[in-house]
Amino acid sequence: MKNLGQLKADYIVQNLNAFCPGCGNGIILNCFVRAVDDLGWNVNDILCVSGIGCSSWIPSPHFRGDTLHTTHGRALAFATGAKVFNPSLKTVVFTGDGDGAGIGGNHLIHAARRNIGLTCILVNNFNYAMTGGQIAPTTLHDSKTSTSPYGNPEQPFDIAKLVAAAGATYVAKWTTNHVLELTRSIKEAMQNPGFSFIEVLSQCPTQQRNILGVRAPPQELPSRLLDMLAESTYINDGEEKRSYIYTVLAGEPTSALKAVEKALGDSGKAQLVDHLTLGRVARVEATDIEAAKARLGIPEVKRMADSREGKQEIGVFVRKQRLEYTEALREVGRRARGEQ
Amino acid sequence: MLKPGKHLVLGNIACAEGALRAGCRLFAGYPITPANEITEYMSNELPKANGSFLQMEDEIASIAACIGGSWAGAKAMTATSGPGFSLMQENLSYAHMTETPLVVVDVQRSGPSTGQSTDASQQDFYQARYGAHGDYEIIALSPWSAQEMFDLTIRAFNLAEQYRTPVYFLADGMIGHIREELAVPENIDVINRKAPSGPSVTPFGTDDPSLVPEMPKFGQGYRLQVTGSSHRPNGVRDSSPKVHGDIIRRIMKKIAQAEPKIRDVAKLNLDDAKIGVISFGASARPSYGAVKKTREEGIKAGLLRLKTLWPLPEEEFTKLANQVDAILVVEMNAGKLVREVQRVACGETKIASLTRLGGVTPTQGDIAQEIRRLAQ
Amino acid sequence: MTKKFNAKVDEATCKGCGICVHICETKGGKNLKYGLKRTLLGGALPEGADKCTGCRWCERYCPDFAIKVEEVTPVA
Repeated sequence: MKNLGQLKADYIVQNLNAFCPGCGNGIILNCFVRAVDDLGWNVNDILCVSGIGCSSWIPSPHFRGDTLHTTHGRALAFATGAKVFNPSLKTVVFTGDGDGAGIGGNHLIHAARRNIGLTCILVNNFNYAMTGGQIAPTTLHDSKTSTSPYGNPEQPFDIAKLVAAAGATYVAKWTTNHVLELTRSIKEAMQNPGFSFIEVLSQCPTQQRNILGVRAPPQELPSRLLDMLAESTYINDGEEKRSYIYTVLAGEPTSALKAVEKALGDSGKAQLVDHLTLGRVARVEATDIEAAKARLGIPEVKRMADSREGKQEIGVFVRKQRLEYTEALREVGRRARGEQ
Repeated sequence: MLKPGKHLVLGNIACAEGALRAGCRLFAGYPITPANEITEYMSNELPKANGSFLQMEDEIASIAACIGGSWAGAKAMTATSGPGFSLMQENLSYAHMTETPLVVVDVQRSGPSTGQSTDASQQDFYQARYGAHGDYEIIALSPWSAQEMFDLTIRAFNLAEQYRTPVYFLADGMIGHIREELAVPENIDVINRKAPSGPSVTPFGTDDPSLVPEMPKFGQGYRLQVTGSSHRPNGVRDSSPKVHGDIIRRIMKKIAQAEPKIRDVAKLNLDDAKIGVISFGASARPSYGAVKKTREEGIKAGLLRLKTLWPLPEEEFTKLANQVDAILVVEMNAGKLVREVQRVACGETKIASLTRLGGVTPTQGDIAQEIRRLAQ
Repeated sequence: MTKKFNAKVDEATCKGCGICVHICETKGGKNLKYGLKRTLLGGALPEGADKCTGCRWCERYCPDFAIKVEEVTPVA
């Protein structure tokens, strides 16, 4: 197995200087080059197309293959032209939530509808990060962003479900904290003959500290956000292994936690965690969860939330086969030339 | 594809035929009147020629697919009209920055907005030149007949390939929908882009006096970095003032310095003319009629017909201004080309403008009357 | 004989984001800690002691391709 230094030498042409410390984009690039390496494909056959935004810098200028860094939202349309003219190009589109689901949302659903044989990796960090943290189509309701100072009046897209409904033949959703699953998914997606789509929830230490209100020293913040992504998602085919709830706390979290621990006594354990929708909450684990809940009627607990509340479902959602677009075009060509 | 010989065809079909003969093998478009016949004809003919026809979800995607296809090695084209052309502008700016050869056909219709959507105009004269953001030079051609819809489309592809640039084909609804004789020749001169000559390439820089770099394509192992951001000759992004200045100056100069070679004008009855009419496309037809009619009356009128609108044939304007007593600029808009003629030839001679809105050209009678007035 | 490993951080590319330290703490051998050296951006540079288990989780999570885990050949 290659170590990261060897992978870097083989696949990365430039240090990732443009990304902020702890950015999820580097983890996604890390997973991507591992997937390419595992597949054993020649980088000369790989074309990475991207649009505008932080996510678009994942392949360009870093990846050692052909890269096409295009206009905002249009990467899939550029990629369609290249893929159609040369179907042997193993084409991967990197996009973001604003780039792919906002300005480029129309191209996304049409690429899925056509089932064109390329892989689209959409990095979702819940905001327009490069431009300063504005509302994106994925920003959670009530989030305070630089264009929703009083809370976001809009509701977010569920992009993976949208693309699945539009007809993609491989759809998965992971977070940057699911590096093994993500790497495996990228491999599977790149081998799928049709349109493959992977949404990756990603940490953005620069903007999410404001829009999600996660405050921590710089060298702890990326890890806190990574843990938050794991805490706020559940795998669609996974069974809940432990019984737990969340308690939304009143007042300063550390002292509220102490009150929760005291109230629980021996009936359960509590720890502070970051949650995408609930905020900084105490996660309470107990063998008899009902008994634990009965003890938590204290002023420091504003309310209790069950283990799945406000979480996003991740995993592989679609694996199916249907006529791929460039193959359909070849069929049309044969018909036009009277070859059948 | 049409066999060599004579055919009676629609202007738009002649354009599509020209594209096929020039080697166009990727067309991406979106329905819009009055350009539909080009798109439909390409959907019929390209699959037969092992080419790719794509109907995209909008004009933005259409031009994007052309650019992507061009970098995959295709000679690519899209056809649209004013509103669709507006949607393409951002990506056309990208095509200029990345020096991507392709042909954009704009069968102009009457605006602003939906205007008279089925009627012709010459209102995109400036949209072609200045529609996209940033600094760049363009090549734009203007046909006046079905034959030129064919001939100049071939030239558009050759210029796009030779200078590695988008080329604008500014037809109009009248010439697109005119049905005329087209002579398809046996042989056609086709120019192809300069492929890399060695194992390494600088796709965005060159020492060649043409200033046109070699153009590799995806999948050849060159590990291309193609970006619309300011970049060094090797494609690596660099937004420093020098790098940006260097690339923009080269991209502009490669077109500007080739203007004498690109320039194509027709001079009709111009040798001894004292009244010079300047026109292009559909409005050049009644202009020529008016020139002939007023000649019968003894007025020495002549026509300078522009086949290349951009780069602007400024030298021809100056020459004409020094020769004639008055210039009359005839166009199917509220007066666009006339501004350029005034800018170039102001003070050299009297410059008059005859324009017509409403989806029609000025009539031969109107133009003849204006020539008579100027001759007095 | 058990294999020995060593995690090395590239001072030129590490941005001091701290992800590897956290990952080593939660998934690895609690080997990586912040040292006294600073990264180019001014953060603390992680350092490995001799407790590296060779699990390579830090490599998988490093956003900057700045850490590598190498097998150490034992001195005979």
